[in-house]
Amino acid sequence: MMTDLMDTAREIVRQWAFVLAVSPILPGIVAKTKAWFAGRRGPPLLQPYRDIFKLFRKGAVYSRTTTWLFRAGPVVSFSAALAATLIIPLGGMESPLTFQGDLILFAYLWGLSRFFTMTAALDTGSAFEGMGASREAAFSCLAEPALLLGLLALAREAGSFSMSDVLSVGLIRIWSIHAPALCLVTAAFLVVFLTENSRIPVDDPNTHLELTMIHEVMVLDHGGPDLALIEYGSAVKFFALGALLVRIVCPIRSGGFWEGGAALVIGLAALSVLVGVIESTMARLRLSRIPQLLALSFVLSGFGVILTLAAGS
Amino acid sequence: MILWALAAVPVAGAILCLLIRRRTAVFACLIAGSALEATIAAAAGAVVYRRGAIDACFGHLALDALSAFHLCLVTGIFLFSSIYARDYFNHEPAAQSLDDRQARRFGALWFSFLGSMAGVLLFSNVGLMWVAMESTTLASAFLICTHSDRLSIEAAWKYLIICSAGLVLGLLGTVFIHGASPSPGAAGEGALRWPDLVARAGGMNPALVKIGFVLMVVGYGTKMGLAPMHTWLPDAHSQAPTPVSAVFSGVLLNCASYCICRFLPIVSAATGTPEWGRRILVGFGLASMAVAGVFILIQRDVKRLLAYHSVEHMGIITVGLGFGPAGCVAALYHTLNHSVCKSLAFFCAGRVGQRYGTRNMESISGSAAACPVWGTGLFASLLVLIGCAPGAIFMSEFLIVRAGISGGHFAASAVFLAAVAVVFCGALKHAIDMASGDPPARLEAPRPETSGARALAASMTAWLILTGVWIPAGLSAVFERAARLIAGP
Amino acid sequence: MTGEFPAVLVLVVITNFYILNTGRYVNSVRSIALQGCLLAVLPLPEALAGSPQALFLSAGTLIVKGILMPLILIRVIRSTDEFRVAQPFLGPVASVLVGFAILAAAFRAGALIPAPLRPHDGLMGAVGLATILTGMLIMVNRRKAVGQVIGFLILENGILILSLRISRGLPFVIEMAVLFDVLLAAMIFGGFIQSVHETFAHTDVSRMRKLKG
Repeated sequence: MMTDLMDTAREIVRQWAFVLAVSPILPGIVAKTKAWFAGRRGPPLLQPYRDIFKLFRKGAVYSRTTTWLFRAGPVVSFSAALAATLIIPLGGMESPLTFQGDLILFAYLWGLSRFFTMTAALDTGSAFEGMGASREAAFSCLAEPALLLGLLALAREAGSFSMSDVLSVGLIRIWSIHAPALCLVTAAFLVVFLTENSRIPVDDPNTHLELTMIHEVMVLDHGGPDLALIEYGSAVKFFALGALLVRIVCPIRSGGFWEGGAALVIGLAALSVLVGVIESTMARLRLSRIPQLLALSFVLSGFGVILTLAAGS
Repeated sequence: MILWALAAVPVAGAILCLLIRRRTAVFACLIAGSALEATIAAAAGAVVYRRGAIDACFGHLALDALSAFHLCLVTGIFLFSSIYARDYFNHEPAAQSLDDRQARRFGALWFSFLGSMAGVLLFSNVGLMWVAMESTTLASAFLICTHSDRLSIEAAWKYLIICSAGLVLGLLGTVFIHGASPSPGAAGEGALRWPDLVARAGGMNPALVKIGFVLMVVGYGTKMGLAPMHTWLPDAHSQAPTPVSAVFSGVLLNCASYCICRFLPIVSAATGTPEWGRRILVGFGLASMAVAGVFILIQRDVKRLLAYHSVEHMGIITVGLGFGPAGCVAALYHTLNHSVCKSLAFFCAGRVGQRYGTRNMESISGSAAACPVWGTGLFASLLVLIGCAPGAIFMSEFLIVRAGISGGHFAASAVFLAAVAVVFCGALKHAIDMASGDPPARLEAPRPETSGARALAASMTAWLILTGVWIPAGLSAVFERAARLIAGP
Repeated sequence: MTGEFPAVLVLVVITNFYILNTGRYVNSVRSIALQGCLLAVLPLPEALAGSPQALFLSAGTLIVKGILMPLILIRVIRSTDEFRVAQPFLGPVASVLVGFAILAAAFRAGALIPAPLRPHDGLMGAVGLATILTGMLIMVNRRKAVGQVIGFLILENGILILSLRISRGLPFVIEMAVLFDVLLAAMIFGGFIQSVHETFAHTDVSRMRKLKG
């Protein structure tokens, strides 16, 4: 009993250490790709580590109108992202945290993180941040069902509601039977991935034009360690959701933790390059277009569910 | 051979019309062509009457008692309308009259319209029948907007889009019925030929046939003007030039009802009981009669009034088809009467409208005095149309009700009679108001009518009254044989 | 005859949704063209099995639905200057969601169509039904004449799919005649829209409401 617990604890620590060590490089790769497209040299790959390190050393300034909610926002969202990574199996093995229904926990950890980010934004009492929060709420209304339906389609095909089962056991078999449905779900997840990580074409992480900002506007008032947590948290989020996508697209099974982890990192690096390409070649959508895109992604994963249901009956 | 000739005449006519230079020659060509077609159709009808069904082209073209009856009717009404068209366009005000180019286009479309309707009746393959039916829509859409003004274009657009969308459902119904056969692929190219379909109907999947038939009634019913799919009909009939309205109302709607008739025996064989299909028809028919009755009461435009009468009479025919074998005989009889009477009514209404310069019935009074031939004709045809006693329509409606009551459809017969009564009262008032009273002073003296026009109006009226009191034995034999194809022996 | 191409059918559904969503008629027409090409793929297995008729059908579908009709529509759109989709009832998001409801309902109903079953046949029936209903939705949910014609063509495509599902295709002669008829219809619709444009100076059919009662 005791040794089991110790084993799990060791796995958790190992996984966290891996995620925390690797994830900040991914925004670096995206930035590098964009720089390459723009013909610039760009910041070094390890720049995000330096940024985060620098921010952690600074002090924070808090407005007198804010309450504990404002401070809780970054902490909760960072912890939620970190918790979500535990659900993802890194290699072909079980993840440290696995039980029937962890798919739903995975989806709603992002909801929790979003809720606290929005409350923190509203807590400042700034009109701009409130606007960002309302946009975030509206768009996530459409993105969340897409994610959930897609997970539902996967769960239905794998016959299990556990992320470890879905992503490790049956994917190759599912690809051979339900390739169209899985393609649909992948496409939907890509849109959800871009939305959740506030990437182009939904949101622009680099914008400084308040009228078009969604996510960035909510974190304007955070500074120092809080901002560091937010940046780190978004890198971890990129890692977690990206890992889901990568596992679906190339469901290779590998033996151990390190081999699986290395394969995953290669996949994530490729995904980051893809994001960089998308950001360089596409324009940000008009705000009124975003619901259309998200509705389409919802329909795609819904269609995936329908296809799996139709084939099953 | 004779079937090929029937198909060839309209094609040749259409090409000829495009080649001819002058307007007058185009109209002469119209009359000659449709007279030729009517003669051939009559000859073919006589052959069918004496020797039974004939076919050609590996059975793709065929003529049996039912289609021969409709074919004679179509070509006959077309001939009358062609004769009338020349008169009508000669009396149009200068701004509206056709120039040579428009006349050529009108002639070509007129013949394509005739050809596609003949195609509906000649193709024994129900798939090709659908194709021909859709072509009638395409050919006639531009006939509605011969004068391209705003209202007629609006009407033609509605006609085009509603009928196309509706007919596509008819195609879907055909697909369902085709798929209901035990092995649809095995039957090969002839799989959709009507006699083969009827022969195989007993083994069909009843559920698919039922879905198919409902789609069919909705689809072809759109073209036929059954409520609630009738919305295009009043617009198209009122905005088209009158000869076109007469053909629309007189025969185009019949062609659609013919298509529905073709599927009745298949449905009754596949479902094992004739009642299921009939109930649907009675339902749609009564709905159309009720809707038409309401709109007839509040109508102001004389051509729209006649259009709603078409909806009503198509409803009557559909109810008749739903009343079993005796009802089918009466429905076919009613089809004939309605076609003759309605085209006469449109002829008269068109010319009276030209005379008064309006189609608003409130501005038309004393038409019997103002233009004796057409005003009187309008009054007489309206009386016959609403079912006044000595007229042919009275007789056929009476026969339908009799079939309904003897078949035990008491409720349906009661609704039928109520709707007919409402229409009678509503339309009688309109008819009397238009015919009686003094003509407005602003009308100039009437131009003398040509003898051809007089003869047309007089002969059609006489026919309507004559067949009301006495049906020739040959004619009733035609109805009996055709009805046997629809409702079984 | 078919059913070996679930991916093709899935793509047909995706084009439907794209047309429901898009704000430009040119994009709709492109998707219609794509849909026509996809439909041309469906009879191919039979053609490969040695049926020249299926090959003709496939080629005819490609030429008529994949090339000619889109060209006609593009010409009409150019000549009438109606590029933007205007929707009277449902906005793009709402119509996509309604389209999704239609899709779900079609899969529910498509499973009920009784006919000999093969793998993916249920998919075909459902996709056909969904395409028909989507076409109807587009027909009632477009203001401009071009939009209604696009809806009509989608409706027709759906019937083609459903006919392949229910009856393994209508006889060859009829399929070709229907194809020809639809081409004719597209031409007449096109000519008509131009005369509507000349007479009304717009093609917004929802504003044509002079005739009533």
